[in-house]
Amino acid sequence: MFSKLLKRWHGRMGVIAASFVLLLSITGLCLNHVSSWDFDTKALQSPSLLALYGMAEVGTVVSYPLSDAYISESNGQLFYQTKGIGRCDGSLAGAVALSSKTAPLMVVACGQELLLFSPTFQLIEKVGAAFGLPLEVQRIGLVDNVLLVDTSSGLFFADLDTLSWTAIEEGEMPRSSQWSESALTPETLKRELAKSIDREDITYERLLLDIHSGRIFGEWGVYLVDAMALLFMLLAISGLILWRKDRKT
Amino acid sequence: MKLFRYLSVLMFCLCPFSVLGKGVYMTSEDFLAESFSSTQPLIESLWLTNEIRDAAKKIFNHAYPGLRIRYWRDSEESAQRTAWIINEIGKTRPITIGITIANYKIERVRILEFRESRGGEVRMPFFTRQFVGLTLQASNSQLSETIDGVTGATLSVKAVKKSARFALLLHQLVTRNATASGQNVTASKRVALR
Repeated sequence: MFSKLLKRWHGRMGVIAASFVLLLSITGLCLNHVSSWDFDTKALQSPSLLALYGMAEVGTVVSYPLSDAYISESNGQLFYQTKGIGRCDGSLAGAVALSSKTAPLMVVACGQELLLFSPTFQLIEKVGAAFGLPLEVQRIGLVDNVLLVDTSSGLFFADLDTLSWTAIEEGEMPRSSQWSESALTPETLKRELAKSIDREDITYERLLLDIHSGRIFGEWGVYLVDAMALLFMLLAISGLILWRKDRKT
Repeated sequence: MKLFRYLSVLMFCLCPFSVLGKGVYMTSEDFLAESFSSTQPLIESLWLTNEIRDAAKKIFNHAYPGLRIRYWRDSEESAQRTAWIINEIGKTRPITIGITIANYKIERVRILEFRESRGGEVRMPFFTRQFVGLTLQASNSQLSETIDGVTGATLSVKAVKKSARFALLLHQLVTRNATASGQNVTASKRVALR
């Protein structure tokens, strides 16, 4: 009775484990020969594979004109022309120059926060949800030197001194509003940015290691591989028990 | 069918409970409402001078990002209570930490948002309550008492401790400034929270 049950389960576990055994064997085999097959030096070029690491191809540059310059975002990095000015939490949603009471203020909007810069693009502060910023920011604009923030939860007048967000009712939108509009990134700027963007080379060895360990699918991938390792152990134990029983009979 | 049921149980047992540490635990409004339960706080901003930036670098071991920091102050001058919301990186992602200080002593520490996959235990009251009543030692800018760490959350613990030290330092600056000349502190505004 026990032997039959064990045999049935051994078979089922074997079927589940089969595809993983194949995957782990192939990646393991490749990892054993990374140097001779140049997997440790060859960098990934495929945009779809790079996207797995959150490194989309450099071609995807989003730019917003600001005065006679451009604010651009690529791979989560923010640039004023070609100068790196920080990271963008969310997608770049606009850039405006605001005449504040004390000094002019450059406001750059990312999906999750507003970044306030001095005219020389020194970061003054980041204003996110913790300071009451309604999310997610989709675009920003100006009306009579008052900041407008268009978010997925509605339209707001923003006062960056008091950090107050006044909702604008439908139909109350001032006609003189000027929204920050994205523009085509000039090719020369794109080429310059491609040199500045941090792209640590992801080699095929790293890709193989990440597939082998499950890390390619994030934290859950690692736990899935752990579960499979447990399954292999159970298979080995049940296989040994069945073999011993077969020998006896 | 049974096989899948057993497999589901197995997967559940292996489930990374640590990822559950991520999330928003308190909104800034709730934190401020808790910190200033009887009064309306005033929002103020402090420009970080070179001296403050140097002190921040010593505490955080990196430059504080930004030239200005916002804080909330009790509208009753005598209360000398301020609240700070500070973002500090634990391992790779920033932790949003709310700290209330009254009369140079920490009144409460709250984790508003935790973005890392590990170390979320720092949001638990058993950890945050250790900060209550602590002050900043003038000699070395350290906390007046030792904070017990949390196994597996060393970097998050460090981030909270550093933020608490920085908040205490800023509290000293703004309360002294307020009583002296008021320099660095911009005009305050009343903020409706509720």
